[in-house]
Order: sequence, then structure tokens, then C-alpha cells
Amino acid sequence: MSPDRYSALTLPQPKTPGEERALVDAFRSGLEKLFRREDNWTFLRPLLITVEHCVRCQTCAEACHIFTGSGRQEIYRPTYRSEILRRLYFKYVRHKRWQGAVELDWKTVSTLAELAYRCNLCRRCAQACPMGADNGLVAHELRKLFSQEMDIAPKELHAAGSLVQLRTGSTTGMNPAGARDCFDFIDEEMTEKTGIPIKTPWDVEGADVLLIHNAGEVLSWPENPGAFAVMLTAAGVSWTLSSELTAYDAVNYGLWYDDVQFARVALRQIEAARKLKVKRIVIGECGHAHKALTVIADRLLPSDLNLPRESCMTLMRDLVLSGRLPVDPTRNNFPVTLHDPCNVARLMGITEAQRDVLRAVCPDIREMSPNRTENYCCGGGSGFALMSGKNFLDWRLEVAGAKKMEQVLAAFEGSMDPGILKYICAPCSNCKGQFRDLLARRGLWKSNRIFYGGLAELVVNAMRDVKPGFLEWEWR
Amino acid sequence: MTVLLSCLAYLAGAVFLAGSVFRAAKYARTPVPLRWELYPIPRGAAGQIRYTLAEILLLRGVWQHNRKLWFRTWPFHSGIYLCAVSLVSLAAGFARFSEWAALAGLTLLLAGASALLVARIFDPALKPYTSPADFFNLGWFAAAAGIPLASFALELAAPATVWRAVLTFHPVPPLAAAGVVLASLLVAYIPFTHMVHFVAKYFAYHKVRWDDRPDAAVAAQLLYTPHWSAPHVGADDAKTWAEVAGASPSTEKKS
Repeated sequence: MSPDRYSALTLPQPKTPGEERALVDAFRSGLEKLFRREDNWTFLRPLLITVEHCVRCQTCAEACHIFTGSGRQEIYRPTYRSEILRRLYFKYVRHKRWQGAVELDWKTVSTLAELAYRCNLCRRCAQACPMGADNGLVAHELRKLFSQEMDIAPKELHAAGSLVQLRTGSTTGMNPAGARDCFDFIDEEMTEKTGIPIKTPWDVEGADVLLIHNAGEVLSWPENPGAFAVMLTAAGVSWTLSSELTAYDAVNYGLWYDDVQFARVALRQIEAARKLKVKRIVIGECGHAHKALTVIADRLLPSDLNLPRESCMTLMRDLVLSGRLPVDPTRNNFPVTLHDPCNVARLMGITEAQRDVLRAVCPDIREMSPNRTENYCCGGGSGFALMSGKNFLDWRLEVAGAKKMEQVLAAFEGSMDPGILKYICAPCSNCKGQFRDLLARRGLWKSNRIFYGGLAELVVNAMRDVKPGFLEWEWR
Repeated sequence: MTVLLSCLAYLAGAVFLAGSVFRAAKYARTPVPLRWELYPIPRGAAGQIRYTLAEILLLRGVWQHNRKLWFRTWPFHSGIYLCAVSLVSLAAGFARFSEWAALAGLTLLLAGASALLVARIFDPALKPYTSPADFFNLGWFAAAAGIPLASFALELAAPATVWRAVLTFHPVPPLAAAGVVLASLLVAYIPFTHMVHFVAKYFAYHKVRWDDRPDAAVAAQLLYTPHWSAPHVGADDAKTWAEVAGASPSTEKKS
């Protein structure tokens, strides 16, 4: 039962009134736990503030790219799902009347389950809220209730996601030996392409930097981890990758739907770094991994595990601006627009390091509007870029991604001629996946030569010590 | 009757203070959450104070993101502030100023509450999200502002003068007394509703949105016992949160 014609989840279909009752009872039990300190200490404070103090003034609505991108459909209004939860909270947890009518039945429960996955958790609505209420958090908390109480979560995030990562080491299913094989291949490619001998170091004790990539990059865009290997090798950085389970894959899908799965992955990643006695962890171009390991995990870590964690943006800035990587920006002589991943910009405040790098390596930068902390989500955030479901892909490209495509086209206005190559710099694996699908759906690579990729590739493409032509402009 | 009215006014003030403190304590006692900040964060105390003052006095967020609402809600809020200023200046002995502040405040409050009420009734974006309690609250505000103004017009009872009389146990005209009763009950009622958002806002901004400090205070919270039922969580009503997070996902259904 879906509130629109799309589906992100495979929801159980109760066949008897008894089954339906059991599901509704499970939801109610989860609802109570969501507001109990023992069960939900992680987010109880902001959740309580939101459900008890949102004045439903709708100030947040116009800030939401999904609401506006849908043509302002009511079910996508940021307060829509929050209002259902708020009424349920007052009726069934606080036992108060006069807070609006709501019925707790399977229709309500299944609607909430699907609607929890019609929000990118970009929190642009929260930024607009004068009250400090956070409707993005409400979607996050609903996802948690469904996962932690009812075992309901998108298979891409849970069964084929965080459970696989904890079992095999990576959500891609790559085990440590497989990961090393992939990097051997990448090393060969990079050596041939750049003329710089590359050998990715593994499990180097005491290295300055433990670099953790989103393992999806390795399979889908190997030139990105390859570019990092080239930069770090050329700059003489002491670095390593780890072959410990979960520590060669920076992703942490639990961030989007399950606090327990989140903590499990984060603790294992940090533990691997501690074992290697590295000086700091640097997170590759993956927005949610940035926020997961540096910000959200922060208070979970006991002092002996609280190792320095850093964004690859600041590392790249240091390498480029210090002159350790001599660059020739004319090698990137094409229009470039920068996408600010929400997790990196609005949710971590990192907005200038990537721009400093871009200014050093690209002569023709076209800012999107708005940008930095006020950016719009690409529409693939919170795991959507991984999810296709039955017809979910249509929704994330036509509704969730609509605003971002508007921004991209506006940024490249005047340069849409297919004779001009154009580059969307998206320093985040999820965002890249969404741009790949958005551009393909609209045929913008074929018809207008709009390409996408990461930031590291632009740096290496501009490096004087690298053979020209690192960027191959081959669609993938 | 006069004494009763005066006692009600003082009691309402006490309940308001106690209720607000109670509400603040409730949020202060909630567990320290995981970091969940939102950028940009105004830097330094001066930056945060500037932001907060603009938010409180000018409702900057509403001005930036919902201009139509601002023209309704700013009069409402500034009306409340002026009524509070009127009471303080009355206590400080600025009687004339207090009178003007009260009249201006009540007028703005009546206009704002009425405009908000109309919007809640007719605006299709607001109506479905308005509960009976919201209508009741706004109606109460409008009455609590309108009756003293009616008393001023019909009984020639200036609002600040009325309050000076009430607070010093002197009689007031009947309509003015009704206004005092309504205002007192409203003041006592606010801390027990979502209208106490001036308290919640402090926690939303300073203890969530702008709180980017690592915090060791969660160590005790890692010893809480979670009770979630999904098999992969592996909660058995005995394991602590730390033990659950340290374990591998379970495949056994919780009994």
C-alpha cells in the first residue's frame, strides 16, 4: 500500500486481520520505544523538540526540493509525515486529545513506512525552520522504528547493504582479497595512464593517513581511488589502506535508517585504524561516510578510539595549495560546476576547501545557485542513489532529482552546445550515482556533453607531472 | 473578589515561571544526543547572540523563508513582547510609557492573533495541519488582547492602570477584570503547550543545531538497555547499548 504509485520497500501484505493487528501492534510498540530514553537516547532530544514544538507554519515547505519538484504534492510536504507521527505521539504515547485526529491502522503504518523513504534527509527544511524543528529527522526516526522494531528496511540498504558489509567487509560484497585485487588492477591502470609508478600500500602500521574510500568507487568509478593514489604517491604522503573488514569501505548505510547498524560499522572502522596505529583517518569522496565517521560517530567513541578524522577535501587543498602537487589549470579548460553534497556542506560545514582546490585547478567554474550550505540535494541522498526498487528509480529521477537538474542546466546556460565539454564535479559517490542516472535519463551526455565525476580526477588531470589526458570523457 | 483576582494574577505568573522551568528541565534531562548539527553555525558568543536576537525580535527565519506569514506572526509576537515590556516598565515606575506599550502591544497582539486565526481557517496549506487546540489557543489570545482594549474603550480602563490596580490588590471594572482573568489563565496555560517554544528553541539551537562539541557525557547512555525487537539488533532486555553495538547482527528472533 503506497501513498503514491511508487515503492521503495517491500512491505509485508497482511492476509488476515490477525496479521494486520500484529503489524500495527509492532508499530505501536516501536513508537513507544522511539520516545524512550533507554531505546532512543541517540536522537530523543531533537525528536521531542520537533514533535512537541513544530507549529506547522509550513515555512519549511518551499525549502524542500522534493515538495517543489513534485509540483507541490501534499504527501511530499515536509510536515505531512511529521504531522501523522505527531498526532500518533500525542494520542498513543502521551494520551492527549485535541491534537488532531488519526487512526492507527495498517494503512497509516504502511503510508508512514513508504513516506519515510520520500525524504533525502538533506535537512534543508530544518535549516529553514525558525523553531529548530527538523522534519528530516522525523523521516530518519521513522526509518529507524521500522528497521529496529519491525525489520522493515529497503533491501539495498539493509539485507544487501549494512548486513553484507558487516559480514564480508563491504556492501559491494568485496572481501579483503577481492579489494586488493581490484586495487592491483587500478594501480596498473594508473601507472600506465599517468606515467607515475603507483603501488597502493596496504596495512602500513604507523602511516600518517589511513584512507578509506567508498568501495562503490572501486567498482563503478575506479579512476577516483586511482586519482587519490596518484596524488598521495606524487606528494610523498605516508598513507595506507586497511584490509580489515569494513575498513576498506567507508560507507555506513546505518546512518540513514538504523542506529545499531550505524554504530557497528563505525566502531569497526575506527578499531581498524587504531590497530594500524595510523595518525589520522581521511575519508574519500563519499558524503555520508564523511558525516558518519567524523560527526555522527563522534560521541559514540571512547577516548582511545577517538582518532583524528579528516575530509579528503582539506587534504587535497593542503596538497594543491602547498605546491606539493604542481598543477596546470589550463588542462581543465572546460566549464565545471560544483555540487555541494548535503552531508559535507550543510551537515558538516565544509564548503571552502573543495572550492580552493577547484579554483587552483579549473579556470572556468560555474557556481550553482544556491550553493554551499544552502545547496539542493541531488535527489540521491540518504541511500536513494542505490535504490531502484520496483519503480523507485522513476521517482528519484523525476521528482527528487528535478531541482538539481534545474540548477545544473542554469549553471551551464550559454554553454549547452555539444561542442563544449562540461563537467559536474560531485565529490560524493552517492551524488555521482544520482548524476549518472539523471544525465542518462535526460540524455544530457549524448545531446549536450554534460559529464560528471569527482574532484580528485580534476586535480590529477591538471597535474604537471602526469601525462595529459587523465580525464577520458568516456560515459560510465 | 478583588483579592481573588490579584491572587490569580500572581499565581498565574508563578505557574508560568514554574512551568517554563519544568519544561526546560525536561529537555535538559533528555540524554545528550549524537551530534546533529546544521551549518552555518554562528561563531562565538557574539555571533550566536546576534543571531538569537534577530530571531527573537525580528523573526528573521520567517522573514527569510515565509514572508506572507511574517506579516501575521511578527505583530503577534511583538505584541506579546510589548505587553511584557509594559509590565516591567510598570514595575519600574514608568507609568506613561507602560500605558503606551500596553496599548500598542494589545493592538498588535489582537491583529496578529486574528490574522493567524484567519490564515489557519482559510489557508489550504495551513488548515489541514491545524488542530482544535490551535484554534482554541489563537482564539484565547485574541480574546485576551481584545477584552482589555474593549474595556479601555467602554470602561475607560487603561490596561497598564488596570494591571497596577490588580497587582496592588485594588478593584478594577468588570470587563477589565474579565480581561485579567483571561490573560492570567493564558499565561499559566502556555508552559503546558507547544507555545512554550521559547524554551524548546534554546535546546533546538544551542543543544542540537549548533552543538558541535564532542561530549563524553554519553558514556552512561551506552549502558542503557535497548529493547528493540528486530532480530538483527540482538537486544535481549539485558545487553547494554554498547554490547549490542559491539556485537554482530543477530539472526535470532527476540523472544
